[in-house]
Amino acid sequence: MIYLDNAATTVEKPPKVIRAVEEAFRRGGNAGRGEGSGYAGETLLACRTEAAALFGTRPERVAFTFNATHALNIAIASLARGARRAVISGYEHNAVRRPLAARAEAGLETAVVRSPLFEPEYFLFMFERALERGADFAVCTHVSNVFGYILPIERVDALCERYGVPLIVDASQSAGVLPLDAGGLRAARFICMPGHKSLYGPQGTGLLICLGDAEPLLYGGTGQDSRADGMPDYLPERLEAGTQNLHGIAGLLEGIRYVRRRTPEAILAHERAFTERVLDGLRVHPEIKTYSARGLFCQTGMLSLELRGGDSETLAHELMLRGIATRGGLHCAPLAHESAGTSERGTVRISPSDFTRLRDADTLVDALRSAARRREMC
Amino acid sequence: MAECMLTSRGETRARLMAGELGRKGIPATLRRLPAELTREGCAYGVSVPSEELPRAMHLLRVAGFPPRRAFVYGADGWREADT
Repeated sequence: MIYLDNAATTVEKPPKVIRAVEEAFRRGGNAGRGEGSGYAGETLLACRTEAAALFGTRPERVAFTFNATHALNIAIASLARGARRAVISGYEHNAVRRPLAARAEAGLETAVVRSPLFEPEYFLFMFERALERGADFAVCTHVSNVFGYILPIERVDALCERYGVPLIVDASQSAGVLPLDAGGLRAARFICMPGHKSLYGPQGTGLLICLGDAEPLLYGGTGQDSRADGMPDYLPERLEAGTQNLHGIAGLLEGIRYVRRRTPEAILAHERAFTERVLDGLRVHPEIKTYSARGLFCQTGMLSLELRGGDSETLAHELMLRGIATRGGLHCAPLAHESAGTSERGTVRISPSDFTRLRDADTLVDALRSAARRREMC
Repeated sequence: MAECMLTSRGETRARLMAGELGRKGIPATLRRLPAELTREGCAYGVSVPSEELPRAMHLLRVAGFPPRRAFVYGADGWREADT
């Protein structure tokens, strides 16, 4: 199978990731829980330290979560208490939209900044207009999970600083692919990311980088401050109730080490090379509509496309029958499809990883051409 | 050589403290704290030789990991160190 759904989860992992998970099963222990927890505690700290080095922060500001959704829920819960208005981009995932919608009855209004694909300057103009009307906090994805559209997050951060609005960054599709320096952000309070996508860790892992105070979402044992009724008042333990996912974190540690060795820049270049090859192959096929920025200037290696007038799920299924795994539909991001005008039928998302072979782009192009020809014959 | 115990805000910070001191040549051991040293119940600290206490305190403050408290073990048990 040619797997091109890496924006959902990367299937192929660096071999060291798998070996690290196996080692964790052999050595085990429960971090923070006693004398036999040395390996576990060391592994957790090593992972925090690697993540801190990759994202320009300190290890104690890196909290473990189950995934990006979990991290986003902590971040939103921390800032939504007493808040009346949140500003979000029109490219947010349901992991942002739904936690905010769940607070609508409590009086939280969500202002969605609508703007067309691949027009970052206009997006910034509209985002500032929304901030001018007042906001208690803002959420912005770094990269659209549907279109690979890179939003200008550093400039969004600067706008938020100017208006005194704390910012949550959803780095689900950028962590490991784009450089992201938490130390250079001024308004950002949280950066949320999964471990299982472009950080090449196992599923069930995520990271929350806390650049300010955070409120726990879960309450329970931490192995520390046991007499206190509440959670510890210090990070990261404040956010980490219950046994941690040692095996996942051991794998994530090696995934992050892989990304740091390869560098996000090199990984992005590889993924873009794949997408450029697909775009080259499809250039003479106007029946296949691709959503791409000129020269991929504000786009990662992710690509959405459609057969004009065709259903995206049907096309994704046809590709699967040819051994190519993609993803059709709305990608849990109806806002993004509304912003791009693709919400009626969705798109097929192509998302390579660092392990995707460039020549597989040609196989994909051939499969898309065949699907287009069949559609014409019907 | 008396033992000193530097108490910490959490295991993560205690490990960072131990790592920092180790890198600077101070023998430092991660420890679960004796019950008498923690009002909160269950906590971590770092054990260092008493003659290294002033330097350890200095290094940890510079590194941004100041201990919560420091104790010295003597004939009458643990007592808070004068730092």
